[in-house]
Amino acid sequence: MSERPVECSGCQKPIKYCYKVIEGNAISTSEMCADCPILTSKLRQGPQSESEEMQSQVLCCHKCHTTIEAIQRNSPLGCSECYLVFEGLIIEELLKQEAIAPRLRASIEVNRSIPLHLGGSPTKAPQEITLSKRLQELNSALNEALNKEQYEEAAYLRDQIKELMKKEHER
Amino acid sequence: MSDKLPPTLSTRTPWEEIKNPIWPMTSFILRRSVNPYLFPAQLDEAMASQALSLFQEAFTHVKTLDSPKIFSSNELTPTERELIAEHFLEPAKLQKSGPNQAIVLDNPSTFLGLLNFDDHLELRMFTTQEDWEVSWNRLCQLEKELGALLDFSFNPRFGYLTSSLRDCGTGLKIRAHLHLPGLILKGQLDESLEAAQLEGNRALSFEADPGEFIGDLLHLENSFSIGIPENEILSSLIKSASHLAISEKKAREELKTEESAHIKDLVGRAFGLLSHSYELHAKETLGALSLLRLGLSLGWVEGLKDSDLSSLYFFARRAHLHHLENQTISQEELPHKRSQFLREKLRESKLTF
Repeated sequence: MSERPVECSGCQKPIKYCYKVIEGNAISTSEMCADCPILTSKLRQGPQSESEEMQSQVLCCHKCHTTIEAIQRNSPLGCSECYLVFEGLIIEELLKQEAIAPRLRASIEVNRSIPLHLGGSPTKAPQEITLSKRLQELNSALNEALNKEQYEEAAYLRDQIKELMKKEHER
Repeated sequence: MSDKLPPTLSTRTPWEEIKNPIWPMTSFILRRSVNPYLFPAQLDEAMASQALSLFQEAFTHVKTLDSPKIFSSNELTPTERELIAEHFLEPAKLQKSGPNQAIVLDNPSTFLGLLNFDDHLELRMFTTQEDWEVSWNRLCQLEKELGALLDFSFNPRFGYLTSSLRDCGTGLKIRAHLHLPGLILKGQLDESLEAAQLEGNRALSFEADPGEFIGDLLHLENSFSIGIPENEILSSLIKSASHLAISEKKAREELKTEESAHIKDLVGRAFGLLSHSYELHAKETLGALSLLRLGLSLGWVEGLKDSDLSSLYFFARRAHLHHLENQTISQEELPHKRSQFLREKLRESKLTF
């Protein structure tokens, strides 16, 4: 029969969770309420240090009150300010989730302060693709395909180039 | 049933005029948040309403979109929202909409704007033509117009800020929708995915279920939104998608040459299922339509155009059927209605073997 943890012997709150630990042939079960700090520490795989406990109690976004725990649980962020408040943690999470493009990942692991964003900005909008740029890319890809003797791919690219030239001529 | 939605949404499907049957569609999605508002999930009623009014006002001033219409979520019935979701090949999100959210559609129904969903603005544009750069350029134009009217949340370190970490940076998602029955039937899909050098991109199935490609439809999308500029996301994805499209074309040519009895049998059974069943469920329908499309491309089916078959991918789905019938169909009746509809559509077609 499962029981509350020893530390919770005085707790009167209704049981919400059953926590089962299986080690080899031994199974131990505890029952806990929804707010149980023992459950929280078990889920963190160990008790929090006092400083960790203080940090997680103190550090939340002043604007939307998103907490460290929410970010670690991969919950959505609450506001743009969270990116400033939790900058370091967000980079860790992005690395953990492998969400940063590979070519930057290795550099970030070594130096956390390098810029992450390489795209457009409000003052420099994402680049539109002009016809000449598209043709340039296709020609470059065609040469690469021919060098690699990938003739089917080369034929496909050549058809795309013809199609683009035809459209431009019609225009 | 729905006379408030743009006519192009209710009477036509996106795949009626596809240029490349193997690569029928490319979708672009840009996510943006707007200062000074908290992200949508954190907004209280008053601020959400205020933010929504601001965004709606901005859309009335843009010139890029052709006759945009804005619908607040509670203006649309669940079936209308599902119709939009089916049209844009976007699953669950639209059906879960709540108050202080809105949907923007343009007249050709190639643009979908989601206001106050996961982020303040989610701008989606698709094209069924091979000149995908036209759609991309239009989206860039739209983003520029809206950026002049709204203050996008931006940080030089993390780029455009979004509620989900994975979407920050460029805030850009590109999806190439590919129809690959040849590669799947020949067991060459994994090999082709590897050869397509998918690094930076990932392959998903139609309903984002990694285990199974329903209707032999594969969505190739970029995995990274941060640490890479927009033009590289574009060129990497287009390169991988082109490679897969070429491999599929080659696989189909091989199937045609081989004249495999097994493949003909599969196509024949699919034809039989669609033209003679009394009840058809969505998943089996999409699978059978895929085989029939393959059969058509191999010259084994006549009496149909590819555009007719491609459209059936949409018309066979629940909300489209409700709309065509001009009434709500019960869950029990739906499989039968679907089969009736498809039998009618395939009446003039036949197999050539």
